[in-house]
Amino acid sequence: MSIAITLTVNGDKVSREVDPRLLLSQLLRDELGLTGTHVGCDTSQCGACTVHLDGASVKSCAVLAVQADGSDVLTIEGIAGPDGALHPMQAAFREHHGLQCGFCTPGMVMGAIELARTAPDLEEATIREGLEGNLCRCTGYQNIVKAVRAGAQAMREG
Amino acid sequence: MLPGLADLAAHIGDPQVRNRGTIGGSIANADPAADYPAAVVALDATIRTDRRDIAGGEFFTGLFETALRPGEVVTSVFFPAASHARYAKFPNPASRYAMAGVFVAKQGDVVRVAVTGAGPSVFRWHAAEAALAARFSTDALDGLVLAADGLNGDMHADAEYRAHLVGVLVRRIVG
Repeated sequence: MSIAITLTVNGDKVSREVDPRLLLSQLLRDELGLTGTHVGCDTSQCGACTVHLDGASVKSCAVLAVQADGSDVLTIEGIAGPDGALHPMQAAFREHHGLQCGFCTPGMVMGAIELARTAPDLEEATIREGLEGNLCRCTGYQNIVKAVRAGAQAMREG
Repeated sequence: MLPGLADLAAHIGDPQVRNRGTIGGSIANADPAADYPAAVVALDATIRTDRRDIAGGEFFTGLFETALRPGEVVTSVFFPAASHARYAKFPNPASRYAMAGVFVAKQGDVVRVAVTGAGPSVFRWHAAEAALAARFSTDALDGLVLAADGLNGDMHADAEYRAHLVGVLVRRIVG
């Protein structure tokens, strides 16, 4: 049995017939070729697969593709400007070297963008708590926190 | 009415998990380390399904097992008010699941202490309830130790460690 779904991914309308058990992460990576969304643990812990579903950050390995029917999905590939200009959060991660191996970075950036929009303040403790759902195996949190603060400030000023 | 329940909800998993998770999904899944089951049992909630109402104390029947029948769907959960209702947990540093979580609720003269994360399913610590019903104070818990028999032991913590955590958490809540 397959189910017809239609959703918007990074501004483009996408229609597919999918297996009911297909994960959103699998739809993005295997069907649409959007491999910027990384799958680290497949158990909803590491956060590398974080994307935005109707504006809220979610772990795409814990969302069925059919649950995204009718929704607006934003992945790491969709946040830069049309001219390729980096999103302020991406620019901040580059400026502050907020990564080592880079595997967790797409999820960190997507989680951080929501954090920037919703956090009551940009204190270090607030940022660290807000990033609880994103694990970095390189233990590079120091610069990630710096990058998130700078990126969030740029977003709020922008 | 129940800030303790809101506080529990605010510390489930992480932001991405909270953006997707629901109370019905949590209790229907009955993960032994989930947070909501402790509130459902301690506050004596009523679980409404598409077929009937189920008392909170009768809902959880074992490891990932509930009173729900095949195809039965949770549609709402009702929580009675409490004069005291607070949850505390010791989260696993990676998964954020409770290695032990305790919800203490006082409704009139009745005190319930519900423990999640420490056993195969949420359970009540009756000895602590009796002590706190007599006197709602940490002094009332002096010398009280939860038996480790039947508690979970795994790579994260053995049963004795979890039993100790439960005692610490109850005292943090009441203190």
